Amino acid sequence: MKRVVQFFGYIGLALLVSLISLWLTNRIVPSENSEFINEESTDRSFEVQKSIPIFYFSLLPTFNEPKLSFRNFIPEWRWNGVENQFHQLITIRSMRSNVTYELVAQRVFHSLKWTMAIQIPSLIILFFSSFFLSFWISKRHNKIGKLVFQLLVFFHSVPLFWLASCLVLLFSVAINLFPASMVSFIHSPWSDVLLGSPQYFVLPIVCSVLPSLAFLTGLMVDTQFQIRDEVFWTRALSQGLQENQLRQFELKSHLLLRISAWFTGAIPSIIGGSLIIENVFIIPGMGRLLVQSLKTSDWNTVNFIVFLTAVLSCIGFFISDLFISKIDPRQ
Amino acid sequence: MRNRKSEFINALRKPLSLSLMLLFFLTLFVRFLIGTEPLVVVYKNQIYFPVIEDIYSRTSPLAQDLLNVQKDFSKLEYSTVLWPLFYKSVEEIDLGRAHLSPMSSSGGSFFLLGTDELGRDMLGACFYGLQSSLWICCMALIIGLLLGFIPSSMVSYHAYKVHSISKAGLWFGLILIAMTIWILLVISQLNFMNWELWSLFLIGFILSMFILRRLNKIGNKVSFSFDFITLLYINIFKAIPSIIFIFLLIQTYQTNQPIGISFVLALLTAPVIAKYSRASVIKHSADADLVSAQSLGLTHFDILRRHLWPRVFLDLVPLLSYLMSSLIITESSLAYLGIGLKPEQISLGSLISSSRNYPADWWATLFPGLIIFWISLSFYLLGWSRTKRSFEEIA
Repeated sequence: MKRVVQFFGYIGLALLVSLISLWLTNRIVPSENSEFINEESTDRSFEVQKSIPIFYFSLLPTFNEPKLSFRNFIPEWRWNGVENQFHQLITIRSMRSNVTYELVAQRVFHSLKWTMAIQIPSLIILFFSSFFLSFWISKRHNKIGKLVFQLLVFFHSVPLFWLASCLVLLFSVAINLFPASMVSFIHSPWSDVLLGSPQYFVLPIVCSVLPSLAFLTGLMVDTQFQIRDEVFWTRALSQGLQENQLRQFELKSHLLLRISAWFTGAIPSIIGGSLIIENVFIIPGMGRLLVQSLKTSDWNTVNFIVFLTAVLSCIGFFISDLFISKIDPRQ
Repeated sequence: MRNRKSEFINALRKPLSLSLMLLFFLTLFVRFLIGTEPLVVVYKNQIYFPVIEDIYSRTSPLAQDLLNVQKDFSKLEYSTVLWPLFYKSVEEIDLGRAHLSPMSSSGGSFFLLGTDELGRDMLGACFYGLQSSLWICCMALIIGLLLGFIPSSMVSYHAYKVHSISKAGLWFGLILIAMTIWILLVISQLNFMNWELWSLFLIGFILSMFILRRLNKIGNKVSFSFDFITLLYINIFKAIPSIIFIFLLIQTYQTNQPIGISFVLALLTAPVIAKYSRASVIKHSADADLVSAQSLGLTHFDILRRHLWPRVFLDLVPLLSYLMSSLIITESSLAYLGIGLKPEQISLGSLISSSRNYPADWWATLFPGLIIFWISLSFYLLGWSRTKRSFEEIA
């Protein structure tokens, strides 16, 4: 029962976030600086969109005269039915882009596939390499181990866009080893590109992995040292258990706990796509779509991305909570 | 390994602190070093400080004469003038000297870090960019502290204490909160807000607190805990993809000014500060001296102000350092994506972004990035060294 309440709590939270996003976009005044692709149509569709109520019911009175009068503060209950922006957002089907008039869901899910094509291999590489590196660094007491750790610390502070730009300059412009731009594959399915030209994925994946690798490895190394200082570790060793056995049975669960906590915080950015990477390498993922939508004032797409990210993040939080309660050796 | 890590951090601490101080100094006084505006001017027996004052805001002989010469200070004659160390216009566009590589000269000027595609000096542009970046991030951190640290610590101080309130007081409080939200919503829709209204709010708040205090003494009591407020605040922001909301807020409020961007960044920094403040307050609330201070009759506010806030703030120092590091990266990333400051304002991110179209200008990508990297790394390592020191103190 507790878990069911928790689940619905998370879903409620996601819906609240989407509602805040809708409210914010409805307050936007079209600016002269916006880079509209099709200024006239975007403006018109945006104004039409704004004329539809935001939620199922309204309480705010209709302000006939914009001044401070007592009448303006009396709530005015109105039932809007299903003809509202929030309903359109959560039912997915009918919402169309303000700019291209395509179905928003179709555009976003196409981008989501691309984002996942980058993020999932990156995550897999990240987990395995950080596991391996943390064990290796904690075992090694030589100069190489120290150097690797120092390098990782440096990588954590490198701005991602600068790292990506430098890698492009080095590997694409100077030695022409890996291509930097996926601009020719914008309308292609991700699987064709991944199987046919995997070299396009090398630099984006490297850029996704490196900054997080430093953080995650550092976290794991610290966890290993902390656990080794615990009483149960010394007691287990004194009772004749081998260090390898302890590492296998005790350390892994503790490490997984830390990783889960980190992963929970990273879910929104994973789903939202790495804005920087997708923009530098021109990958047609969620991050690039979001930046384009913001710059072209395509608020329907923006709201849908926020909604999808919030819902998937909250589901991720719930699964992560379940996972932590399952693997936590203290429970 | 742990000792080696500490050794490494200790070895870096001094040069890092020194370099950070140097960078702060340089960026604070960058207009004294590079620029075209004099530091001090005596013109027609009046003294002016063009670098630190807006001379066009008041009618003066200097302002009037400058407007006649297109605001070019060098075209006027002064009785006394003190120019910056390097007389160079950083923001001036000169396509004749564009794409110059580092250590090159053009038209009698020497360019240590080269020029960008608009012919701007990269060294000066980097310092100007760093100045705006540090200004935005420092302001964001201060606002974030005000929004996150003080309310969260006050609420969390009562987090695990179960409070009792009378039913009448509870209903009154709930109605009051609903009414406040409602009034704010209506006023925001009307776009009407002035100081009279704010003072009315303040008087209303004081009166309400007085009534609430009276009502709390009537009837049956119910128990409640404050902790859910902080947790709700933290969870809402946790579910929000932060960078998306930064974009949305910047677009919604059309904040191209540094203070607006600072405020938006602060809104997303505040929950992180609130989360750690909460943990620290709960940890220190159980300290023996705090419990004895309570039993001696000190008020809650006195305990917070004298005993709790200094300790919590010390706990937050490493976090603030980490946050500063990530804020610098976030701010430059925003500028890189073209969201944030106006295009004509120089920022480190926009310098790198504009160099994307000219891959041969490697210096335009390398140097601004190196500066961001160095300052972000310095803050990160300072935070880390502080964390290690606090661990050592505990040990």
